[in-house]
Amino acid sequence: MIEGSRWPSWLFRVAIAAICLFIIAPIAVVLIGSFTAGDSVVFPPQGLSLRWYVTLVRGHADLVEAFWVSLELALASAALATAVGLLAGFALVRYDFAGRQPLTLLFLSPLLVPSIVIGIAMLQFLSTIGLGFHPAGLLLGHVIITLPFAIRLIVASLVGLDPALELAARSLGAGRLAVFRRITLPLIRAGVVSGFILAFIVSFENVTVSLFLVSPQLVTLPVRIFGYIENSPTPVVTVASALLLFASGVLIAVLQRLVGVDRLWGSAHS
Amino acid sequence: MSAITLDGLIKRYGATVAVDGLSLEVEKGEFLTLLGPSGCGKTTILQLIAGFLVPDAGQVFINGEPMAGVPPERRNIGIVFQSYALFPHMTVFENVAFGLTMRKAGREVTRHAVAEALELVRLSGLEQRFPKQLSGGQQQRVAIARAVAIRPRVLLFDEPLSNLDAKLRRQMRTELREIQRRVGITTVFVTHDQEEALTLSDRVAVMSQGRLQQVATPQEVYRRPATRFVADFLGETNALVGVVRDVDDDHLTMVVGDALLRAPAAPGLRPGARVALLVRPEHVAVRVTPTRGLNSLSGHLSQAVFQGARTAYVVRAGDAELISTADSRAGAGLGSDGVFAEWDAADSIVFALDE
Amino acid sequence: MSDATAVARTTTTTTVRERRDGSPLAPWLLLLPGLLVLVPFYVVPMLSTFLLSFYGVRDFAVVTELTVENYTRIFGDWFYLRSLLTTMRISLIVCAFTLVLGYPLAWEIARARGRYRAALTLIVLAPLLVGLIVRSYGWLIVLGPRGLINNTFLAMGIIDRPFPLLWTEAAIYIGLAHVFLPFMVLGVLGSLQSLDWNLVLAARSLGATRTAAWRRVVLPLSLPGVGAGTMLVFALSMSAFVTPVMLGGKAARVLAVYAWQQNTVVLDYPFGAALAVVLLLAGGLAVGLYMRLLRSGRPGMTVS
Ligand SMILES: Nc1ncnc2c1ncn2[C@@H]1O[C@H](COP(=O)(O)OP(=O)(O)OP(=O)(O)O)[C@@H](O)[C@H]1O
Ligand SMILES: [Mg+2]
Repeated sequence: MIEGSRWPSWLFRVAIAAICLFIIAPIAVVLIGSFTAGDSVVFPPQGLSLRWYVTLVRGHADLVEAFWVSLELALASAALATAVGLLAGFALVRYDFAGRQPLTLLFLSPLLVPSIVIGIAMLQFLSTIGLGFHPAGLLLGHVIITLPFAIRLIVASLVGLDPALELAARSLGAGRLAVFRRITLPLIRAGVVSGFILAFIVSFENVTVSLFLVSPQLVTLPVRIFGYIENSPTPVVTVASALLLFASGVLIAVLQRLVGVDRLWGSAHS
Repeated sequence: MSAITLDGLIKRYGATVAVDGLSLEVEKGEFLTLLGPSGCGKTTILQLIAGFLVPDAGQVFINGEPMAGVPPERRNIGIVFQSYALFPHMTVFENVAFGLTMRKAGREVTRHAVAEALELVRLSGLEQRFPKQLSGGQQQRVAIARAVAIRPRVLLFDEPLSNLDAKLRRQMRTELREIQRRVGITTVFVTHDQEEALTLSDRVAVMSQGRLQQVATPQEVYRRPATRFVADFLGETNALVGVVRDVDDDHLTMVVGDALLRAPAAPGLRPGARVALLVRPEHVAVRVTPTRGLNSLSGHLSQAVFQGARTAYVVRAGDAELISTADSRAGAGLGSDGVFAEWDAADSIVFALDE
Repeated sequence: MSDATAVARTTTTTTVRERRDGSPLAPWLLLLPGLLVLVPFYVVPMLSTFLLSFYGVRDFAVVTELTVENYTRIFGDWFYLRSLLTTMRISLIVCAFTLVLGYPLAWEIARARGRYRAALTLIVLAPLLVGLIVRSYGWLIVLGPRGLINNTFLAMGIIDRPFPLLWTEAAIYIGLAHVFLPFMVLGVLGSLQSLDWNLVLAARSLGATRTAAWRRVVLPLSLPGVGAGTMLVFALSMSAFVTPVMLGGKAARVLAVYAWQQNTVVLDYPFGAALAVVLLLAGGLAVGLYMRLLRSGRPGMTVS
């Protein structure tokens, strides 16, 4: 139904369906492929089984360990990014001070600067000051790249909060801290929680910045998978990828319920 | 001692001067309305009193105590916001109890105070509802109850009725006045609705561009506006521009077109001064024959606009146009030609045109 | 880019910015933890990398005298120059690819309502949250010698032996287009969303056919969104290296891959820094150019 009778609407619908298939297919094959019973990465899979899941758990301590590293790293960096972002977001929304605009830009800029550039800059700087490959470097890198995501969601929910609520609480005798704890925080909780989850996902999935900051002793799951693929992909790597997919899938579902995935990027809602 | 004293308050936002050297006293128990057009600085004044803003110059005193350096939470002031600002995550009870909780009042004291406040606004029984589950009028009452429950020294209202529909607004207006009388708390009420100001207040403070124009009783500001702005802002007025010819003890004569009009004298006016004479439509009568002793302009009836109970008649007299309102039943029998617009000199007021 | 401007917009339109009563230090105290993370570990490294790109290396040690030799090496050496051109070619093709796929999709979302719209939006945006690794790995399975496509065509008898799809430049186009498609859709959708559909009705009532109405009304008004999406996808493609490595293998002769190798394998930091600066500028330049275009553009073309 796009333009005129010469392009019938069903053809357009088919095109849309094909594009959606293009989007979903590569993600679906990871999921399906992880249950293969065969010995190599083939699609369609040769029979279905949990065989490679078992193999991963039993025989690939490196992948299992990387999974835990990623999980801990994502938890830590999301917690830090949310805490830091909550304070910064509050300052950026509720206070008027010289430098507010440039600082807003600074806090969001890790979204604009290519990840590889952040990775290179941090790697070079950290090794110059003798902190190369230090676990703290990896954590800081992840806090920096997840911070803008947390801040954006927190800022959005603060902006949507009627400032009169905070003023009312003040007039009723609540000090700044009490207002924040009893009024502001409970009312932006959904934003804060989604900020945490989004930061978690971004950290958990990140490979570009991690590649520059991991050390042989501390490797994240995406980096480990990347290393395997450079050599030769095996079904066990498909399973590892599927684990990444499951983790983000569950969290995406939570986000969808909490705020709606379309709101995460701001411009997609009507 | 006044409940609130504002002394030479100035507040700027960058280049805008929101409040420009304002001094005002509000007596204990008084209901004072700040009236003025949008953007004249009413909210800014309330926030200065509440302590959300710090004045660039001047002082706020409450019960004679200087408020400089006292944060909002320690001023003991109740505020009702235009948006009500009810805490959406708390029940009605928790909302009303909030101020008492902050004051660490005991459980019994709190329960009692909340019950009393809710009874005052006739909302007993809705304690466990959330704000979302209340109508606009009910939310309004909760907001009032919450502000009153802390037994504040002063109550501040920022256009609290503007979110209600016309009928409810009128009803809440009466109720608000009654509640205020009952609790007897000094109240500053902000509105840009003149009818609200006139019906509610002990005194009205009319503002324009951050300055006070007049502070007086409703009758006074309506009948004896101190400035042209006040006259224009409150109610409808007819304005006739002319030149002063004679001034005697308490009256002056002015020339408008080829007519001579009398009006109460105003200080500082001399013969030759250009002035505007203002008279309210309800004080102007349209008659077929002129009446002795009244100001009278001869013209013709150009329009009659039926407005329900009243009808507005538009009389053209030379260059001037006068509006007269009268009971709709009284207007019959007026021809469209040759009428006189008349009023008592005492009902008019003149202001110098300063240019 | 669209992200930052969106937040900047939402934070400036709040009219009530109270708390003017507090100490002027308060906001800075709240910003302090963030600044303690960002300034030493992000701002300073970025600046130091920029500085480093002007240093040279002698006998495996960095010498701190300013030189532009790293840059002359990039722009004077055919190897890197060709890589830069390859990167730009790939980025342009990815832009075209995402535009062809993204425009109809944005159009459909802009006109869809209710659950259908929610479902489409989710399909387009959720993959943004599925990492690069999973999505690129998926293409590895789809494009592989015994992957979905080859096996399908073999079974249908269209080909008789696997066709090389993986480890080609084409695989890079497909992978990157898949990764960046959501940004194109978001860009175009931004314009289509703010478009007043009555304009289309008006054009139709004035005698325009559907095609003409689209071409003369919708298309010009959606150009800013197309521009925004294209610039973003171009900038992102210029610096991508994980997907190119995973799908292109040796065919991934893009600048970002060399930048990665210089910094993690060769360990020539000054040269690696220069490559990073070039990558940053290549993306930044595209965005800057687009902003210029917008400002000097026709009245209809304002940032939506
Ligand atoms: N935070 C602010 N920053 C800059 N200017 C402001 C700010 N708050 C108010 N102003 C300006 O100060 C002036 C007075 O504002 P104020 O809100 O006190 O007006 P008001 O009388 O309450 O108006 P309204 O009836 O519309 O509520 C206006 O010109 C307004 O634009
Ligand atoms: Mg106001």
